[in-house]
Amino acid sequence: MARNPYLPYPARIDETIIENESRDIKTFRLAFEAPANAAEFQYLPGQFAELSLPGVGEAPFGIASSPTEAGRLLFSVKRTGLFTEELHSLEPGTRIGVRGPMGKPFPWDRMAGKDLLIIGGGFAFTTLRSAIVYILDPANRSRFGSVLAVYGARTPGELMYRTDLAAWQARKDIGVHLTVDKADEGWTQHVGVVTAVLENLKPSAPNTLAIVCGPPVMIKFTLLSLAKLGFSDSCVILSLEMRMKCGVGKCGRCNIGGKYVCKDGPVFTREELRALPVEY
Amino acid sequence: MTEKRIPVTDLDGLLARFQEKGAVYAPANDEAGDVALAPLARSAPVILEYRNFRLSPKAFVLPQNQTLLCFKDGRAEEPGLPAGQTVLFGVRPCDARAMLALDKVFLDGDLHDPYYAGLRARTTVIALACTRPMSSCFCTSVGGGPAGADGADVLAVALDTDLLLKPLTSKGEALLASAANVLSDASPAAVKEAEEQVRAAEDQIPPVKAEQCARRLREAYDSPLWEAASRRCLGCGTCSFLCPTCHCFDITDEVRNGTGRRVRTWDCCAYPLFTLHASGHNPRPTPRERWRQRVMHKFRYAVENFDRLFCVGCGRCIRHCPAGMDLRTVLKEVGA
Repeated sequence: MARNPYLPYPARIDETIIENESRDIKTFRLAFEAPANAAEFQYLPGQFAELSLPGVGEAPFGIASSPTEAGRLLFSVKRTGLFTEELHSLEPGTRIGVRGPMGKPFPWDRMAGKDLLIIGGGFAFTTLRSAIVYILDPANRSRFGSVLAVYGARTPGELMYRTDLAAWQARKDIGVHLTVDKADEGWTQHVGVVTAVLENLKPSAPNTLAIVCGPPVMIKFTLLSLAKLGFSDSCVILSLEMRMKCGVGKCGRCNIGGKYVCKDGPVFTREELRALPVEY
Repeated sequence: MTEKRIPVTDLDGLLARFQEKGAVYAPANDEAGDVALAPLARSAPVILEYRNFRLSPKAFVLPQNQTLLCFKDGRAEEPGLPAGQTVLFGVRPCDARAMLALDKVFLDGDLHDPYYAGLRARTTVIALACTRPMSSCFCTSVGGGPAGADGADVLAVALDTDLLLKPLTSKGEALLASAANVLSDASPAAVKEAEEQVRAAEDQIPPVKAEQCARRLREAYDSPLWEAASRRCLGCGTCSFLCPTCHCFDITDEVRNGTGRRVRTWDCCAYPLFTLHASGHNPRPTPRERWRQRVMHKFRYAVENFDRLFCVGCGRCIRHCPAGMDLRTVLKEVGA
């Protein structure tokens, strides 16, 4: 019989990492209590899971680790509401439930053989980290063409995953452009909005798929830039955020048009989103 | 199995026979004097003359509050599923059909809902054909009818002195077989009388313009109609709570010192909190978007996803709306 979709896997917090200067984004490294559950939790970058704290509730978060990082299950969470306040207060060793993986991942079959343009902003970079780690894995890298990433944050101190970013920038098989709205002393990289960097880089559109995750205002202008650069709507991939409860297409909360973000998304092409009401 | 009959005077005996299989609920007067589905009891006689219950029977398969998980010392456990069978006698055909809509959502392959499935499997539904529709009824315009009881296991028609019983599923056949010795075969004349009675009931229901609603709604997303139609909406949620197909729910925790439960509770898309993000952003910020969502979900999205309207024409949302909103007006005007 199928597993009860409401029953979380028991896990514990193994490590917490503060990601930014504002100290309101933390990465939680989780470990499943039962090795069989770890084996069952098969995911791909772009998917999400519900984290569960008895008495507090549940909330959905994109998975920030890649399945290629064996034994590392990461979620980066910005302190925003009741659940995330509580989560941020927890120490390593605390028990936590994990329900998932849920939703559709980035379209990895379609992405094979393509050049990839990855654009992220702010704390929405989590599943993009997952995607980049996955792409750069030695077993996967040859399946994709060139990889170009543009990541923007308000200040250098707000960029997440700084160890990863430095490691990626040292590699020859990925271009990583970092930009900040406001530089500080010692910042030698781009200053300005993501779209300015993007339009300077002029990535070629043919045979390229773009994945975009970020705050609504960044998405809005990035979509305009991508259209200007010649990207068709079917080649632009986005990930939606919606309030969710069940995560399995029942509770109706994340319903947009005929779709449920939890099971039909969260990943959609720009073309698919054009067919939906703008209720996100 | 052919249609069976039993004298109305023997109904109590028949229901008592069903009670040997499990809990039986039948129409009886409740404390407020309304007819409602109640546990069979000697003190409350079964009523056959009623329009429809104020509450739809969806709570038997999707309770208003239902435990999803139990927490003991911070660990989550599955609650046991209720054992035993339930027989519902006297469900109106529209409400029986509504269960087919709920099935589409909750019995969905990989994402099967074990709690709904458990309650649905143990519930046997005997629908009772309508003879006197209400002014708010419009089942015949949304694929149903006074005896259109897909979703029920047995269809009953009450004649003057007899009750006719027609099994519709194997579950219904098994139920009637278990009471075979108190049932006899219905005569062709009685079957004909029942058909005529149903036709007479059908004729009393005025048509509502629901045809092509999915297409019409697709073209009417930006219509000014939504603003006007939603102006009266108080966001009270009465329509959703009484609707036999509304199934959206919230999940909350009731826990003290690591012990308690996670519970799902009926929710409603008319509530602003339904879609409010933690960031403060709300994708459906006003009654206009929320009321549109309610109509779109039932008459367009459900058709696109399941090829089925999520409205059975029971009219509860019309009858009980404290602001007098009427879905039929929207259906008539939209895309017309």
